[in-house]
This record gives sequence, structure tokens and C-alpha cells, in this order.
Amino acid sequence: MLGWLAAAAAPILIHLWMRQTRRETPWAAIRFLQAALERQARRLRLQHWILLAVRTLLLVCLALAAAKPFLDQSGVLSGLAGGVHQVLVIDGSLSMQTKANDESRFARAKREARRIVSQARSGDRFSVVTLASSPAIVANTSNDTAAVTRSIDALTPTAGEASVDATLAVVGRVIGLSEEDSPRTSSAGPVRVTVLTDLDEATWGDVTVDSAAGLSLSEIARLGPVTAIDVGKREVVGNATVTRLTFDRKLVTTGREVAISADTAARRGSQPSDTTAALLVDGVAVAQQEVTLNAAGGTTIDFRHRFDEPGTRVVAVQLGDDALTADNTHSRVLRVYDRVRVLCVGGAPGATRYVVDALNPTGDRESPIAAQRIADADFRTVDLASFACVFCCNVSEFTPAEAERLAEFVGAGGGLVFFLGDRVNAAAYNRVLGPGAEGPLSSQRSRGRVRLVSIGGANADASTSPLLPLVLGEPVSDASYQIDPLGYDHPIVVPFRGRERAGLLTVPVMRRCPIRLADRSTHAEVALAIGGSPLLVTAGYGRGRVAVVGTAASVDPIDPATGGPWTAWPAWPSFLPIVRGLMEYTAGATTDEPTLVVGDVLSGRLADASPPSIRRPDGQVDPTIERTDGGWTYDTTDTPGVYQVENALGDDPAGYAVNTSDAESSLRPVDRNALPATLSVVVGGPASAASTAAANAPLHRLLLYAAVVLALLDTALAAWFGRGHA
Amino acid sequence: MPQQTTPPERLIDPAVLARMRGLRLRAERIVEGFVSGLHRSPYQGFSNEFAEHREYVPGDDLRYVDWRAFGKTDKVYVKRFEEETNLIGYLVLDISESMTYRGADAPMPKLEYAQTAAAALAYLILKQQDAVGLATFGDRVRTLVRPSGSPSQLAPLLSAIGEGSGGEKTAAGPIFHELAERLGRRGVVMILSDLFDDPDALLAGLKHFRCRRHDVVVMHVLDAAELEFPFEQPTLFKGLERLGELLVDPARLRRAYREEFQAFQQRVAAGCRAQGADYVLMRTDRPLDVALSAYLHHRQARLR
Repeated sequence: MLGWLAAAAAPILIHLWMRQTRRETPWAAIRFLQAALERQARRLRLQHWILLAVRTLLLVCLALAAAKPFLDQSGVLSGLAGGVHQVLVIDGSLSMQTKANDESRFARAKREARRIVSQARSGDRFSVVTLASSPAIVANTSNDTAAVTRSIDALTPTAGEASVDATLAVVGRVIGLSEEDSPRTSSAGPVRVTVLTDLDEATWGDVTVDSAAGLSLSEIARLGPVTAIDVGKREVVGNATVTRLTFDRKLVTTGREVAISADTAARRGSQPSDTTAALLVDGVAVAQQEVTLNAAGGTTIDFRHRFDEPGTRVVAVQLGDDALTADNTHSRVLRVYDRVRVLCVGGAPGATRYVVDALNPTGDRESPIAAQRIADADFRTVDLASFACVFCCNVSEFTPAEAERLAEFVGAGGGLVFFLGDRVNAAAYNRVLGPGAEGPLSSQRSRGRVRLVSIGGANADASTSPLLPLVLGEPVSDASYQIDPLGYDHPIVVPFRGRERAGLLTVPVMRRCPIRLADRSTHAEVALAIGGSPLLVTAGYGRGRVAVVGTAASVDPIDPATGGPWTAWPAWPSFLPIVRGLMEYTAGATTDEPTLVVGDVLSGRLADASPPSIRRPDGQVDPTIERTDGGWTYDTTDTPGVYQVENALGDDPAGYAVNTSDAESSLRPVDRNALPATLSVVVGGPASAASTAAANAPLHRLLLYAAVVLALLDTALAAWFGRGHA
Repeated sequence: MPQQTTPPERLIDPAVLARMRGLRLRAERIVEGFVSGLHRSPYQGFSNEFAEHREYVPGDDLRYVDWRAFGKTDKVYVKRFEEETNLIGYLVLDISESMTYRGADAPMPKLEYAQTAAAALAYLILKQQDAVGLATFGDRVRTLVRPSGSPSQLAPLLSAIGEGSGGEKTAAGPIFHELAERLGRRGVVMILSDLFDDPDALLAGLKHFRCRRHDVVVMHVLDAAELEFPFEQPTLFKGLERLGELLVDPARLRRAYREEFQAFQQRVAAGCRAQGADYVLMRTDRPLDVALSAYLHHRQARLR
């Protein structure tokens, strides 16, 4: 390369050669030469000025181009060029994983983001924020475009929903917009916010002018333009998802077929589509069928399966691949019982006889329901954790410790049924289990023995509500032969709908404890009533349920008014289905729980010694579990699947099934007219990329181009002038 | 009007003439070569002195048909007259230093070209029985030969013409004034010069000739290099006539120089025409016959 230095000798040689070639001649017409020189002088001066200007400009361009890094560091150039703080918000919600033409919307968004970064003018600074339910700042006010591009490349989409409101709050923080500041000023100069999203309804549906997100938008828009680049392109893509997985029985036992129904929703233009559906148990496909999904509305796919092994099983239904694959699998964690063990606590001899007979009429040892009968005196020695359901029949009262055990049992998902009777001390019930028990029970619960519940639903929060959200009155003799089924709405009595002669309505009840619902007990449900007074009340508590029947479960308690039994229900044909219904409904509460959605928080009780660890669906063990008072929570549920809880305490479920949001799966685009006007929407694509590429080329490159052009211009001008033109 | 053609021998081509020694030889060759190409002999003029009759041939001027002879003999004769003029030709030859310039491609210096032309003119005029005089000048009038029609006039004329350069600076205007006073009878004044002088003074001098009722033919002798400025490399131009030196890049100056020079030339030509003088451009690389043609044209005009 240094050989080129020899080229430096060229000008010197040219100079020497020019000197040697100078000629001399006598000349007669010298006066005209002088006149020509004078005439030429002004023109020559002009040419010299032009050449001088061109060469000076050339040097200025070169110097600026060479000095660019230094100017950038000192911020001089950014001031000159008007550097912009560009905030790139990249939608990470599930719908962004939708693929069209082998490229997902998220990949397209990343490509757009990289393009914007690559077209950065000097002085521009970049922040990258993910649009998610818990938005993250990936890059913060960085002018290192390489680092920003790297952080964009490293982004992965989540399978969850996204919160525009929360994300805009983060964006406001990034651009220095805070409550104290005047909204018109920002510490970092001009701002441009670009949202790369598919504008789906799940994310943007509730963003209106008046919403919190809309107000945040207008706040940000005062500092700079807010643009949404639609990477969804409004393409029609097919997507099917399983929205719900249900079992025909709440308590699933081994050796007996269970019907599994998968509700699906499809979105594919207006045409039905064929796909395959597979039933997976613990990740192994056990059944498969070809299904045709309706274009509009849902399709239910039915499977039948018999579990051979008891334990906690993961049941999933998987659909064939489509544009959005992440939502094709819907899984549930199911507890399969070898036999459903039921504890029947009797407060008097024979108090539980009818219940046990109803649960296991034949006394068969192989029956799927194994009922164990104990006296109330033995209650304190029994480990409740091994039972699915507890029937308390005519138990006079419970100690606070026993009440605590019951509450813990129910809170963890167990079922608890109270039948009353002549030995029941209603006041004690109200005091220990009912609303009156708040003081002592809540203080005990605060020790952390009660499971915290985070899963949504109507169940009461175990830490603040009583086990029984009702008040029992003293028994009254009020013979009744007419039971009100209240429209057969309650699941327990649903089987009787249309079967008025099945013996439910005619149950004779002579004596009962009137039940009054506690004021705040909105979660209590009345299944049966007599003359407007509740007879059978159920209530959720924690993950389990509790039920109270206002009369006895046997014919032994005597009504002092008549000398007859409290009720003849145990002998009535409706008694067996009601008892079984009570067991299944109360013990099977966990089966009815709504499934978790990506982004939900998992929680559980904390084992005394070591906290549990979470094995994520991808097999990674995540130790980042947050400890709360008496429990743990885990909030990084960013992918669908089953989160295994290792080293869980007692009867906590061994796994949590996390599924995707149905709203995201619908892929419905938002109505753009409903969006605030402060958000300008453009459709992203290669066209917009090309239009701005030239304008945003880096400054130093432009300078170098200009220098080259000037150098050529200089040569051309010199040659032109030298030839005597101009 | 005599028609001008190029003689086959190309004897009046300056490149050929340059190889010939002696002004007399050159003059003879030029004139004979030139005359042989004419349709009409320049030696026969029209005077009152009858010479002879000749039979009419088509092309003869009907004015000179002898109608009396026609009446007697029924044949058409044309009268022919002996030439007898009192025309005087004054040759004014510039021998200043600027005339010694010779371009790289020129066959001869301007001065030699002008001398040759003057010699040829003198020879022709004498052959036509006319009188011819001569004046040479540099910064002043150097030689003045009185006009005479005698054939012996040629020798002193040629020696005066061949004197060589005066080596002085030309100031043509005042010299023309002086000459206009000193020349006697009116005649045809033929100026052979490069006219490198202030055009205003020059034209004023020419006007003086016209005031003396001379016919004036300005023969502008120029070298091709002076007209076209063909230099390419940077050149040091050493001014003749003590006008100093100039080092210039000719390529860049060519256009301006040409403009200047053409402006000068047009100025002179226009000035000449305005005064009724003839302007003849004589390039040293072109044949000499333009000089002879110009003279003959004037002689014809004057005789009519």
C-alpha cells in the first residue's frame, strides 16, 4: 500500500516538466496580447474565485466528515442536526406471533425497528420499550445504534396480552414526562414515538380518547408525534384456538371413561377449515381426530379417555398448525383420583349412615367413592389432606383449631358439607365458622397457614372472609312439603330440571335451622329454599367450596313439636343424587376454576423449610420466586404451558396450566376510527422504508459524497477554464 | 474586371517564391505568371492614340467598334488604342521591426513577403508604362524614390525595396501625414504594412492621403500565427519594437487574443472602407496575386 506514496512525486514531476517545456518566441503583436491579458484578467479572477470556493468547500466537507465522531461525542452536531429522541414501542402481545408469508408480525416489527434505527441521523437517540402487560425498557436513550439494534434483535414476543396504558406510562417515564414537569417540556429535546403493532382489538380495543391510555397518548403527543406502524397489514389469516377444556365429571377417577370437551374458536375469513385435533395426556398424544371448524362461532371437539394412573395429570388438546401456533394448545391440570375419599364426621351415632350409603350404596370396596365414617371426637386426629370432601353431620360445634383446619382444607380446594341436626349449636357455628369468627380466625390465618388465592373467580378471599358467609338461626319447626328449586339454576340441582317427579320438590322438612345470608356474602349461592328461606346454600372459599344444608342428614333427630324426624329426606329418592351432587360440587371446585392466562400470577403456600422452585414449560427451572407473607408468588408466566411446582407444600397442585388469551387469538383488528386522533396510523412496509432511506442517510456519508462531487467538479472546471473557455 | 485565377505553375505561391533569390526574378515570375492567367492583357489600355484595327470577336466592347469602317467595308472592326496613361503608383513599404516576425509555419517573414509584393507591383506598373515611386518607413520615412515611368527606374526601386528592416518602432500615423504632404501628383497609394499602431492615428493618416485625392489600397500584411495564435505551451513572448516581455499560457488566452485581434482588424478594415480606401488582407502563407489584383482593379477603375 505504501507504494502509492510514490504517486506523491507525480505533481513534482509534472511541475518540472512544465518548467522545461516553457518556450520563448519573439512577438510582434504584443499589444494585443496585453489587451487580451487585461480583458482576461477579470474573467480569470472570477475563475480563480470559483476554483477557490470549490476547493475550500471540498476541504470543509472532508474535515467535517473526518471530525464526525468527535462532533457527535461533544453533541455539537446533534444540536445542529436536531437530534430526535426516538422511542420505539414494539408490541409483544400474542397476536404479534401471527405468521403470514413465513414472517411473523413480530419479526416484521423488528425489521421496521431496525430500519428506523439504521436510518438514524447523527444526534438521534433511541429508546426501545416493549408493549406488554409488564412493559420493559430494552434500551434507554442510547445513541449507540449498534447496541440498540442488538437489543432489538434479542427481543422475543410474549404469548400474553399487552397493556397500552402501562406501556405508555413507561414511555412517559423514558421521555422524561412526569407529574411535576410541565407537560410541554422534556429534558431531551424533540421526541418521536413510534409504536410497531398489529393494532389488534385485544390490545387497542379499550384505547379511546377518554380512556387513561388516550389521556397518556395526548400527553406524549404534546412532546412529539406518536405514530403507530401497522405491521399486521390487515391480512386475513386463519387462526383456530381452543378456548376451553371441560370434563363431564368434576371428580375424575381411574378406570372410568371421562368425556373431555374442547371448545374451539376459529377465524378464517368465511370458510370452514379442516384441521386435526389431538388429545395429549402428560404430553403424549392419546387420541387424534380430524375436525372441521366452523367459520363463525365455536366448534366443540369431544374426546373420551380413561385414565389408568392416579395423580396430577396434564390434559391438553392441540390443534393443527395455522398462522398463530402459540394458541393451538390448551392444557389443564387434572387431579385423577384412584378413589375419591370422603370423610363423614358424625356428631351422633348414625348421623352419617345415610350419607355414607348415598355415597357408596353397595359398600363395595372397589367403589370409586370411598367414604370413611368417624365420630366427631376423632376429628382432630384425622389428616384432612388425604380426603377430597368432608361431610359434617349433626356435629354440635367446632373448636377454633378445628375450624382452622377446616378452613385450610377448603381453602386448598377441598369440599365441605354441613348437615345440621338436633345437636348443632347454631350460635357456636356462627361464632367459630360464621361471620362472627372473623376476629380469632383472621388472626390465626395471618400466620400464613391459609393458602392465598390469586386465581380469579367468585370465590372469597380466604384471608378476609368467614368460612360460612351465613348466619344459622335456632331450629324452628315449620313443616313444609314444598321445596323451591329456584329455577334449577344451581349446578347441584340442575339434574332435576325437567324431572319434577324425581322427588326433590316433595321432600318433607319438619324442622330446620333458618339460614340468613351474611350481608357481604355475595359469593353465597342458594340452591334450594323453603318459602323464601334458604335451605341449601353453597359458597366458595379459597379454592374449595362449602355447603350448608339447613336440616338433618338422617331421620334420627326428633322434632319436639311433632315427635317425628326433622326430615324424611334421607329416605327420599332425591337424597342420593343431592349428596353425590354436594360431594362433586364442593370437592370438584378446582375443576371449575378458570384457567390461568399468560401473565397471571401464580401463588401458593410457602413450605416451612425451603421455597418451591418453578419448572417452566420450556424445561428451565426458574428460581426467581418472590416470597410474600406466608407464601410465594411467581409472575413470569410469559409462555403458555404447564408450570410445575417442585417442592410444593402438601396438597398444592403440582402444576399450573397457563393458556393464551382468547381475545388475542381472535386477531380482530381494532376499529381505527375509535382510536384517539393523536395516534397517527401508517401501514408499515418496504415502500415507506424506501421513501425515507435517502433522506436519513448518515451525515458523514453525505459529506464524503459531496467531497467526491466537488473534487470531480474542481477537475472539470480546471480543465474547462484551462482550455480557455468560459 | 480582370478575373483572378491560380496559375498552374503556382509561381506566386510564397512557399515557392521563398526558394527564389532576388527580387527581380521573383517580380518577373509573379507578374508573368499572373498575367498569363488573365483574360485581358493588362498592358493594353485605352487612350486617344489609335493603334490599329482588329476584327471583331465576340466579347469585345461594342463601344470600340469602328462604325465608319463598318460602313465602308461592311465588316466589323474594333479600334485598338496605344496605352498612354499618366497613372502614378506609390508603394509605401513598412520595414519596421514588427515586420520581421515570422511564424513557425510561415514560408517567409512578413517583411520579405511585403518586399516581394512591392517588387512585383513595381515590375507590373513599369511594364504597363506607368510611373512608380516608393517610400519605406520605420519610425520615420527611410527612403523615398521619386516616381518615374522609365524602365530604368526598376533597378533603384528594387534596391530600395530590398534594403532590409529598419529596426525601429512603427508610428505609422504621423508618417502617413508626412508622406501625404511629400507625394506629388495624385495616384494610387499602396501601403504594405502590418499596421501595428493605434488605429485612430493610422486612419487619420490614411485620411490625409484621401484628402490629397490619392486612391489608397491598404495591404495588411499579417502572419498566420498572429491571426490564429496557435501556441499551446506556456511561452515567453518577447515583444518586438521594445514592447517588453510577456509570459503567458497561450491556451487560456487564445480566445481573448483572437477577439482583440479581430476587433483591431475589423476596426481598420471598416475605417478604410469608410474613407473609400481598399483594404486587402495579405497573409504570408497565401499567394501574392491578391496584391496584383487589387492594384489592377484600381487601375481599371481609374481609367474608366
